[in-house]
Amino acid sequence: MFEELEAHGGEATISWAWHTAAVFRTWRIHKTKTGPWSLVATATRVDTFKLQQRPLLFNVPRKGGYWCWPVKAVTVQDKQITAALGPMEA
Amino acid sequence: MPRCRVVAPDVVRLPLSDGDSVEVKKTLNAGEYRKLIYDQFKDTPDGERITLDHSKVGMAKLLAYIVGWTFVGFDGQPLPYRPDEPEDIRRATIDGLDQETYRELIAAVTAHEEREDAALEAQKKTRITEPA
Repeated sequence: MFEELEAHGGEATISWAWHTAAVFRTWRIHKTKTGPWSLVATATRVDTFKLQQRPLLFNVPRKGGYWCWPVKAVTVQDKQITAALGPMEA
Repeated sequence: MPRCRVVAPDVVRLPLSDGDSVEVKKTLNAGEYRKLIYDQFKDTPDGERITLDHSKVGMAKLLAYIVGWTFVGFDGQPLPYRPDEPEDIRRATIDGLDQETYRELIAAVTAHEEREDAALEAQKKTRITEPA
């Protein structure tokens, strides 16, 4: 079991159902052993109306599908997005 | 209170044969509706009259509405289909289905569309007759 986990990557999105609420150029997620997942990302496109809706999912493409985390809370400052994420779903 | 004019992304599950089902958008929003209309017409040079392309009608409708299904592949694992996948990938997935399933999907989605249109018309009448 890990003490701390960090992952980062390029293209990713936050979606509201099938609508894209944000598209990211770069993203970084972090988790401590007992703490929640957190996300810091730089967006190329943000739809503030859709980002206010729920439920939201953070989606990272992988071979054959996506890794998804539910978004618990999100803040946007310019193109910088920070979010608290729930447990990974798939 | 003013009426909210944004379409909520609600999903409806439609039963199919053999215990399968398909999940579709309850209502298309303006952008999705506009794309569906445009996708059903033939590409024509500027100035030429645009005409409906009957070969595109069914597929355009499926691409506009379907968000998921219970179908499985040869290995019995779920056959992936996500509405946020690029259109060419979704189109190729639908093209890989057997003809009977394709026809069944079109019939189910068309019936759903007709039910929703009728419900929207009924709602409009209710709004018009409601006292201010």
